Amino acid sequence: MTILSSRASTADADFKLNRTAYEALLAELHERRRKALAGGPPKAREKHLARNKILPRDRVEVLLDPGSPFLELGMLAGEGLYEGVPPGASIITGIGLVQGRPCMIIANDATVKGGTYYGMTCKKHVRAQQVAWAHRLPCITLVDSGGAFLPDMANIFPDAGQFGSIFNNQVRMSAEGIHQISVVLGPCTAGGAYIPALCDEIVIVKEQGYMYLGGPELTFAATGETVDAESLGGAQMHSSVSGVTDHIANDDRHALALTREIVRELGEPARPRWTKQPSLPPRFDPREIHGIISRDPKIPTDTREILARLVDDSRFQEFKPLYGDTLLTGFARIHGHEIGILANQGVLFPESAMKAAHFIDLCCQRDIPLLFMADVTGFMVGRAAEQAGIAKAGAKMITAMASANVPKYTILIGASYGAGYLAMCGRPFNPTAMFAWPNARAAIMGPEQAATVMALVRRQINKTEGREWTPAEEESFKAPVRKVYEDFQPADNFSSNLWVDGIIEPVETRDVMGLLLDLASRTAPRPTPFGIFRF
Amino acid sequence: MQRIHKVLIANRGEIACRIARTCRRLGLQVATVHSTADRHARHVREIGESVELGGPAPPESYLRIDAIVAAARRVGADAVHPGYGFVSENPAFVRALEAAGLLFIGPTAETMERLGGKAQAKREAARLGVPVIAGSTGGMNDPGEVARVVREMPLPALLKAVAGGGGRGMAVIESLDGLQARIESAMREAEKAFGSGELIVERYLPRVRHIEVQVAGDGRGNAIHLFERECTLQRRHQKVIEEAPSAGLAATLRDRLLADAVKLAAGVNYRGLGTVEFVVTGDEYFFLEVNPRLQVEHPVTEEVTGLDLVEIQLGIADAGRLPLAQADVRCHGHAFEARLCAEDVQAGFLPTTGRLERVDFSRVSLRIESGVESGDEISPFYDSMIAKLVSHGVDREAARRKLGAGLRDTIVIGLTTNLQFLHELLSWPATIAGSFHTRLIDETVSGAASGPAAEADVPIEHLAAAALHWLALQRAATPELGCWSQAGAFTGWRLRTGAISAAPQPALLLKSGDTEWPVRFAAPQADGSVELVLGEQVTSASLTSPPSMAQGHSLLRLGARTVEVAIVGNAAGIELASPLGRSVFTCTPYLGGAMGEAEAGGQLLAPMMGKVVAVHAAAGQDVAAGQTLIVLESMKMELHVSAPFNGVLAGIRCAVGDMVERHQLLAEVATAAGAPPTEGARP
Repeated sequence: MTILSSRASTADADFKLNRTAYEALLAELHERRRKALAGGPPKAREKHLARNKILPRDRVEVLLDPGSPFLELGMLAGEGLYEGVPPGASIITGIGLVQGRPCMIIANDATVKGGTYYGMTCKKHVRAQQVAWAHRLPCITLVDSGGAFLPDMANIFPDAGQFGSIFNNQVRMSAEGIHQISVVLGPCTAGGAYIPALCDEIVIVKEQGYMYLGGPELTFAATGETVDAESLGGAQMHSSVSGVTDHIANDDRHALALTREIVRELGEPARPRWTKQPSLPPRFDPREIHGIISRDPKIPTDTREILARLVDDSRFQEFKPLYGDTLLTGFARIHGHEIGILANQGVLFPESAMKAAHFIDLCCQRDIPLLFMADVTGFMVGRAAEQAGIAKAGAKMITAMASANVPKYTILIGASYGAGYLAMCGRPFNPTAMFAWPNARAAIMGPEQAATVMALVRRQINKTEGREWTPAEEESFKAPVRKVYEDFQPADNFSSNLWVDGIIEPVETRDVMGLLLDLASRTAPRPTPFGIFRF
Repeated sequence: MQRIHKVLIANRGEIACRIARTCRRLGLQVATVHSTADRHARHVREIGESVELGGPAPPESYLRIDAIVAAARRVGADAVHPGYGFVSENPAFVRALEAAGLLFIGPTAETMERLGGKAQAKREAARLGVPVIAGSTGGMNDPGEVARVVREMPLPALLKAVAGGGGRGMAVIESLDGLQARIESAMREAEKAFGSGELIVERYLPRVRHIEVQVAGDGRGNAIHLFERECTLQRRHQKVIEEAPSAGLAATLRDRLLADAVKLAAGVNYRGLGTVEFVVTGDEYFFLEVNPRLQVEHPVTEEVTGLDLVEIQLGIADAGRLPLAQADVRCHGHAFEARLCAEDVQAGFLPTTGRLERVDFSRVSLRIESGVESGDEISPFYDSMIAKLVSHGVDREAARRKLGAGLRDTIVIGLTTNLQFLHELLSWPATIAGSFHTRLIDETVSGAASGPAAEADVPIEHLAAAALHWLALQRAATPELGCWSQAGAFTGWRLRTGAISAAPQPALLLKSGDTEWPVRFAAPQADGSVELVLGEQVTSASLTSPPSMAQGHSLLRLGARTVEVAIVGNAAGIELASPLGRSVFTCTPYLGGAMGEAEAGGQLLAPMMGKVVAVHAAAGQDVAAGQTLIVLESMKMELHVSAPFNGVLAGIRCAVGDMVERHQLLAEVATAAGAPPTEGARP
């Protein structure tokens, strides 16, 4: 096994400039994370506290074991999408330990517009369920939501992956023996009442949690019956008369304590399916990645230098180093877990794609998870490439990647354009988890290429119409095209739209992977039947 | 040694260990004895050969003469060293050994009989012209006679059990009120403790110093002294800190005292090692008693004279003569001894018992005499002494400082001890000045009856260590979950925000005395330290246990300061000790208290349909949790409806003979304040 070496020098002027640029990106990321952590406006938080309720994030903290990690997903989802809604889309989702068992925690943030479900809120809730499902994690939902944001109906109501899918996922997970627990900490009306109602066990807080299909007002409007909230759907009624809820709590704290008691009795936890080695730090400081990532998109970053700062002991057992060398493939460990890495080191050539297919096949047979580290402008084009069968080779890579049933992880570490984004296990291929580094950018093509391609097309049209372009005219045509791509491609846009599960820092990557691989190790292996390979 | 080849040590604890040490140094074999409670005791482990005598209570084991004699035969001993306490002053034991052809290392049975009873000893002293305290001429069994003697004496007067010792069986009579009852009580106590209710009465001297002279005699009228010890620092007549020589006796007084002690020893043909006890007040001194044995505090004499007192005992027993002359005995410098005991000073020096989780003198550079080690039990059957710390210095102040340093560096956890008290006592002005009397501690401590430790007493290092240790215990209790439960690195792992901030809610409540600190944790930083909010204090600390350190010891790093701490505990309570002192915490997880809260409302509903057959309370009446209020008859069963919490019966909604439906309201209970309680009042 090879130990990766490094040629990077922290004293290098270029290194320093890169680092300064990267640290600015990180500062910006931290600022946005802090906004997400703060939750709703101070007034809403004070009101929440005045009702003797614990703030949503604190509920999560208190529910978790002391000292438990919390791997938050979609922290910046919905950022900038809705007026007055901070990053996070009024819901908190993430994985943490409760009674020593990893659980998916889904918590409405009632301090943000009353915990209302927007389209992105639904999507984030569903995404959390998918991650829980894939890892067989008990779901603990802390319900405190005013219901759907009606003007966003198109993104909430009709389609798969929206609010209704929450119910579907609850039922299908329950059918597979994945525990569903909910804690009713506020009113749950109409559809909202089904989230707890579809759970295995429900805790409800006295004179605070309510569940009804129609609230007092709707009941009056529909039937003329005048009834107070308490007897219509209060904790006492549901725990003693209707039997809808199972545990009654005096307050938030009591409810969370009861929830922890419930989790204690969830039966035997899953055991790992592979053996982990002791974790070893890389031989080079991961923080140096900040100075290695090129600040100029036109100057490529040496992915090997990044790998040397990411994997245990900087050990990388490279596969086919001399063949298709624009894609690094090889075995390494992260926090002791074995993993097969595919990392771009340039444009994908036919040999690189064929090597990828071969390597993925190896990992699937050996039950080794895959990590795609995307930094690719796309597949090679041109006569030589086409005649070498790049379409066939690319298809092999995509077939292998899409077929693979081992846990798959994707991290956008740089550029990720066009079919390169897809072939490196982009979101459409349902990686187990997908993250972007703050510097990442992804689009159908790069802004400059897009502008150039569009300008070429325009020039053809001009030509047939017999018109000529001045360079100034051409530039004024290209600028808005470039702008569209520049606005689309940043990692922020991907995290806001939940096209990735989050933006993570290079130095957080090992830890995030370690946590995820540990969860994956406790799932059953699934054999991979491959689709037809085109030879 | 001529006659002695193997010594049976008929004792336990530190003294057994200490005697064995000298025996071994002199090339003698040793064996010891033990009770069933002491099967794994340190003296058994250290001496290596031991005979079990019987049950844990001393009369079943360490006081059993027959069993000890049999043990001596069994191990092939030719001599028996009795240590102190137990059979050490029992003439019957000496005779039994003699009858068995075994050597007793100590005075003759006859000497013991002559000096054993206080009244007799006093007579002997008076006969030899040694000053004695005025009082009854002999022991009295009749309470009336005792009362008559007391009435004739100037008060206060002291009642002493003739057979007593060590401060037990003593009572001070300061007024004639309830005299008869006091006397009877003292007699009962003496009867219970020593098997004899016989009392003597003497003039009580309240502001005295306790000074004793170590003597040695050959049994043929030759005697020497090994200088005196001052044992004035006592609580309830039990010595706490001793020193040698005395703290400040005028040279002439000291000479007279030493001379009188030698005169007494010679006058009774004393054989072996003994102690002549005196009380000193002003320039007067009075004979108190003779202790015909090795004393607990003998090491201070050894330190200033450079002699091994056990060796002298063995020498006299073996050769029948004194191994040294008076001129050979010199006093150099000053020595102190502190008795570290398992006792609760706050609770009036009440002995404490239990497992001594950790006792560690590794950082103490003093002579330590101990009969226990980490993990040993301090049982209620024997004395509560954990160790004696003995210091020696060129002068009194040097020795005092050394002892103070040794106490400061001593680590004891698992039991409440007098360690802190000893340390404080050593710094009392009266102690420093050496101007004290035997009642000083009792008067000072009862007056101060200090409340619970103030918050300032808990160093932040201890709080941080307790919090981090608790966290580590929590993590250790988590099943192996790879990164999720990996100690340290992933504790409190979160996506970074550039600022390290502790969780907004406390995870833990640490409590010491009456002070409570909510503890909040942040994620660890790259160097392994964790930011902590301890009550109002924000700090950053790390707790590590490098493999080279003894188990249970850790290094706490807080700011630039590193402190070595010994920690024991579990999720409920943590105790730790370091050079900064000792702290005890109870630990409650933040949600810990939430589960105990009452769920019950005050409305009592019928559990099923039935007939009310009895109503046991009336509206307005106080009711206690669990108290039956109403009885129903249903389906051939009697169903009791009881109060859910302590409160007031707000109303009865049914009457005897009523048929009630299931879940029909029968009665309502309110708390004294009116509403159903929110916590705490359930049975």
